[in-house]
Amino acid sequence: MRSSFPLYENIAETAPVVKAINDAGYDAHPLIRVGVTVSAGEEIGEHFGLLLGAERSYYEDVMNLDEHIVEGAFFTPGEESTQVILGKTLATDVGAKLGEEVLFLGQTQDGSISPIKGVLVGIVDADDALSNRQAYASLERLRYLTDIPDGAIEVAVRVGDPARAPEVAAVLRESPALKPYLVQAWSERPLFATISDMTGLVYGVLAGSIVFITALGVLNTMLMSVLERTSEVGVLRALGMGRAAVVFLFVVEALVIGVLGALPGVVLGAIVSFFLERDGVEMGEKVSAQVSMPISTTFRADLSLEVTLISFALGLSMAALGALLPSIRAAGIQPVDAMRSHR
Amino acid sequence: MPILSLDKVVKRYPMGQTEVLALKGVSLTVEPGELLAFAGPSGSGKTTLLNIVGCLDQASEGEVILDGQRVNGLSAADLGRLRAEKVGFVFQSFNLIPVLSALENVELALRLGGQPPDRARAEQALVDVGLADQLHRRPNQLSGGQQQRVAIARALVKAPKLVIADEPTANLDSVNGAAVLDLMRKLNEERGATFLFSTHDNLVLSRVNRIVRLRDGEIVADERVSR
Ligand SMILES: Nc1ncnc2c1ncn2[C@@H]1O[C@H](COP(=O)(O)OP(=O)(O)OP(=O)(O)O)[C@@H](O)[C@H]1O
Ligand SMILES: [Mg+2]
Repeated sequence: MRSSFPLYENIAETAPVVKAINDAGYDAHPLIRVGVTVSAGEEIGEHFGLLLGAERSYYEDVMNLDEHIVEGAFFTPGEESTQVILGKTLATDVGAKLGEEVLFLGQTQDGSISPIKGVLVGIVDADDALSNRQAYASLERLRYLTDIPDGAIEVAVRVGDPARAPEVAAVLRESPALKPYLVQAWSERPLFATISDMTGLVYGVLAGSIVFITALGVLNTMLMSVLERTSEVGVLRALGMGRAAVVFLFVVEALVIGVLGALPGVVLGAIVSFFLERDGVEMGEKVSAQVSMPISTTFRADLSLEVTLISFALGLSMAALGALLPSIRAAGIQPVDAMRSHR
Repeated sequence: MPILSLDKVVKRYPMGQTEVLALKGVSLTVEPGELLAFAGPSGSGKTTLLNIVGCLDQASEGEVILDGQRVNGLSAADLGRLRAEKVGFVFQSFNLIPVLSALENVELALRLGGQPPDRARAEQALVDVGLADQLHRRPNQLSGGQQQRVAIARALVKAPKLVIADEPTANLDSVNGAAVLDLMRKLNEERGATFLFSTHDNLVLSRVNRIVRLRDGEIVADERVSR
């Protein structure tokens, strides 16, 4: 019995799509990625993973899979349809050994269970959690598994500069052959859009909290300083200093403290960021394994002159802002307070 | 012309719903060169009176004329200018600026008094109070008596018409207190500046020319002492 809807939306014929993209001047790679159970040896395991089917050129040129083989070898030319490669994490989970036959159980696009087998020829460690939990096979085998003989689920387009992706997407969208399909740059895909929204929010909250805490710290320090010097300010006022001069005095003090605080802070932060950006910090497989996204397991900083200058300016303005209330309070000290303050 | 004249000066302080009557109509005339002490029990209004005379505070009622100028109704800024120009202060707890040296404290008073910075003049003021060797010491490196001498130099450096000292000896032992008083008395005789003290201290009362006794915000006695 056929179900009325295909399980996944797909491109029934990739040839015209690939041609249209090639005509526009870009490489095109049909891809099929499906959820499967993976097992090796005697037992049928309960290991779930993603199985990717792609042409050799995609693995070599786009993913650089051949350079990340840590055990065994890359696909033997001409033998791709009988071979599979596993990500390091998945291989360990499944307990598959090189040369063993690996069994994948998936579903065709109309829902029937469909198995494929392949000999495990290589294990990759690709420095990102998702890639290490995937299995890799030929496009041909995946077409068989999903029962999409001439098609694919998506066609990847490679653009030299990732930042140009939305521009290229806009151009391809205009191509008549691509009209029926959804053309999206990586940054426009819902997952990435959500992530960048979220990181924006996290940055905002983080920066906001830091600003708030800084201002509060300066406010507190300066309030103490004003309170401690009530009689001193009273004396200055008695000797003829005006209110504006008192405000000026405390704001200048806060700015000097602000510069003395912000300068080493910015320099120290820049040094740490420089090394974080150049070398990064390896977070380890354990951490990255919690995340179901193709993200690097190396944590890096993103240092720029702009951010450095903004931080410095922000530090200074927070010092000035935090000093304002205490300064106005200091100006309110009456000269009689000098007479009355008995130590 | 008197340096100072007060006519029925009243001072009220608001206290929640009610108010405190700190001065209940004080009338008084002070001639230039007088060395005068206000005496009286705690709370009798000595500090309140000195604050009004020194233009630190305003009277609620009555008239105050300082060196021929009517003080009532002046703005806070004008009051500040008048005070910087005509009045020198010596405080009970010295109140020197702790981060400045003796010399810098005296120079600062000159500058805040609207006069050009003049190091030689500031040095001379300190020499006059016997601190020629302590010019560059900070207040915390000086004894109480020495700090009060710096304060006197600070008050006198701009040659004010009037010097106001609220209990100047209260934080000094009797030897230092006597020395500080003798110094002020000498400066009063040599310079002709008018000195107004408030005090509980018999040491002070034995060295002034005039004693005005206050009680509950009123003058109860006004004695001239001839020495
Ligand atoms: N800022 C103020 N607010 C309310 N009441 C005040 C204030 N200053 C002084 N008083 C009140 O005015 C009265 C006179 O106080 P003042 O300080 O002039 O006395 P004093 O003679 O200097 O006392 P002491 O010898 O203790 O210094 C007191 O009853 C005092 O409580
Ligand atoms: Mg008093």
